[in-house]
Amino acid sequence: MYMRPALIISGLGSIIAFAFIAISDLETLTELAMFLSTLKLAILGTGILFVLSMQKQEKKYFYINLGTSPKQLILWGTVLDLAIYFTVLPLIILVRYAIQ
Amino acid sequence: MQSNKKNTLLADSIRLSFGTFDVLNGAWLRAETGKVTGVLGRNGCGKTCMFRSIMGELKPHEIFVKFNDLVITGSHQMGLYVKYLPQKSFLPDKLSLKEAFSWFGKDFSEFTAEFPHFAPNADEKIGDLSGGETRIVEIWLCLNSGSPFCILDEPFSYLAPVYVEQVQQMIIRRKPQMGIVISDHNYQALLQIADEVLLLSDGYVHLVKEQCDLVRYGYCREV
Repeated sequence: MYMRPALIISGLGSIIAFAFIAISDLETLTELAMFLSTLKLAILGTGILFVLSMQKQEKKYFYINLGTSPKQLILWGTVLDLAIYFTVLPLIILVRYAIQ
Repeated sequence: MQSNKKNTLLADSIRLSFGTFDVLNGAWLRAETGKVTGVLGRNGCGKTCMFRSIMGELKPHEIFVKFNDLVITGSHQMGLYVKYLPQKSFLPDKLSLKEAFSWFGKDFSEFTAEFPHFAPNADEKIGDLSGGETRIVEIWLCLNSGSPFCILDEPFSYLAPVYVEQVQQMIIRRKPQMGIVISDHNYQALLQIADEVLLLSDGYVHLVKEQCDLVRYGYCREV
């Protein structure tokens, strides 16, 4: 719940990137993948900064009282988001080359 | 968690400063099951900073925290041992009352058994409750979530006198199962239920043995 706004924005970014990779030309695939990945990292970073700036100090204690840590939630949310992105992206590229 | 056993919480040697201003100079706090520990101190003396340091949200220069025989380091999740009620609301505004209780593993009906007039508000958002109502909900959650310790920072703020009495009764009822630390400027209400009173002044913690100590340390003019 803590990372939801950042993950929604970043997840949408991932889906759009996957769609572009799926329909782009094979010649420009690698450059496009690198450009979109850079854009994706920028979106995720902005999302995290947004979460940190919007969260009131006291609201952190909701998560702390539940036995979690906001810092760890940010870390795990980021790792999960990037793990999904960097697993699915090469798969799409491999499939594109395979069905060429 | 270990609700029938006597637990102890000790925070010691807390040293915190902002720039050249020393807020805490070796402050300490101890709490144990079956005891209400009151923490008094003037505005800005560092009570909240001390609590936030214990909860791991502020990084003091030095701190030593121990739960029973377990030394708590930065990697531990304090919320498992201590529930903390900050001065302002900690529940997300968009949660409904029912959802807030389910996050803490509690049934809303347990709460309405004590506060029946909340019963029709089960689906109301936290953000739509009044400050006092939110406070009651949060205090109840902190005291009833099964944690061995609870730190209540100004629990009586925003509360009508009748609710202050209800919260006092709730604290007394929960005392045998947990250690409770309270800080509040309604010191009369605090003194009525505290078993031990500590006074934070100039970064140091003093044990208040008699109520006249509060005058001696300049906390109030008379008791």
